[in-house]
Amino acid sequence: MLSCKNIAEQSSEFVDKKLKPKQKLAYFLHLLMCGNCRRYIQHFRLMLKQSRNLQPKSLSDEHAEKILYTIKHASKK
Amino acid sequence: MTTKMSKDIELTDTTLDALIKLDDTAFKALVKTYHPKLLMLANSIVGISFGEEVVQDAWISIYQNLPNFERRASLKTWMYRITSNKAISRLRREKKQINFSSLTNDMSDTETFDETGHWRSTQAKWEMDQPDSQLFSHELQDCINHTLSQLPPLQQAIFMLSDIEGEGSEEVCNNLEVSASNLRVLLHRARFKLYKHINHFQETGEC
Repeated sequence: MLSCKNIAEQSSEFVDKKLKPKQKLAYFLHLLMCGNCRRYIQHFRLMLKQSRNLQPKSLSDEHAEKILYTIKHASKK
Repeated sequence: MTTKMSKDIELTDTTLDALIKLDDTAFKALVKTYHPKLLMLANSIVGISFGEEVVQDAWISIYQNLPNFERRASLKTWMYRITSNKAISRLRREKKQINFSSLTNDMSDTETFDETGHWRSTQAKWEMDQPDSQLFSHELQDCINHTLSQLPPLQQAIFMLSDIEGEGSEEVCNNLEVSASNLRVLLHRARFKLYKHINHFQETGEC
């Protein structure tokens, strides 16, 4: 029987679909009985889904222009 | 790392053709979108003191080698590979070792779990749990950025490439010179740490 700690430890394997069938069954059984872990997995998935939005802010035109100038200048050497 | 939702340069065949011809407008758009990403990657490998220098070297290589780009990998993957290689070489030159200490998936986390392996406290219901709510409010975004910047070497790079940029595990392993099993462990550690910080933020409103 898996513990909640095991559920957390294997959560990346679970959401990335890397668990073997037997492990998956044990995982689901625990989730069936444990509301806390169901909520954990729901939030864990949500966090990963939204991580795609954590893109760094683009540069300003001026900054990009400066970098381009430096690159072109250095490439000519 | 300051983050917000930003629209990437569309790396279509037409854009790629222009880039291969080293068209200034296309290249500037590439720099605009990808410089912060390459910098984030370089910083997470080599540290902020050398990050800018590494990325500048990477851009010069990208610019010089773009006319020979063979499109076997995506341009994004190719640029990440060049930047990772430069950062790892720089790290070696500085004689620093990448630390893979105790790479097990066991989380000796007595604050989160009791001795029987149960959660110590009920998982907070996240406010962003609504379909239309914006998950990352400014405050939460700051907290996430802070947490990511505090991750140990490589965890940040692995999280960034895998979960933010959506690179495949094979590419990430090749780029960062880590085995598939180390990748899984480090990625999970980064994710769980981030989860705990978001959860704490949801419970207390503090990072």
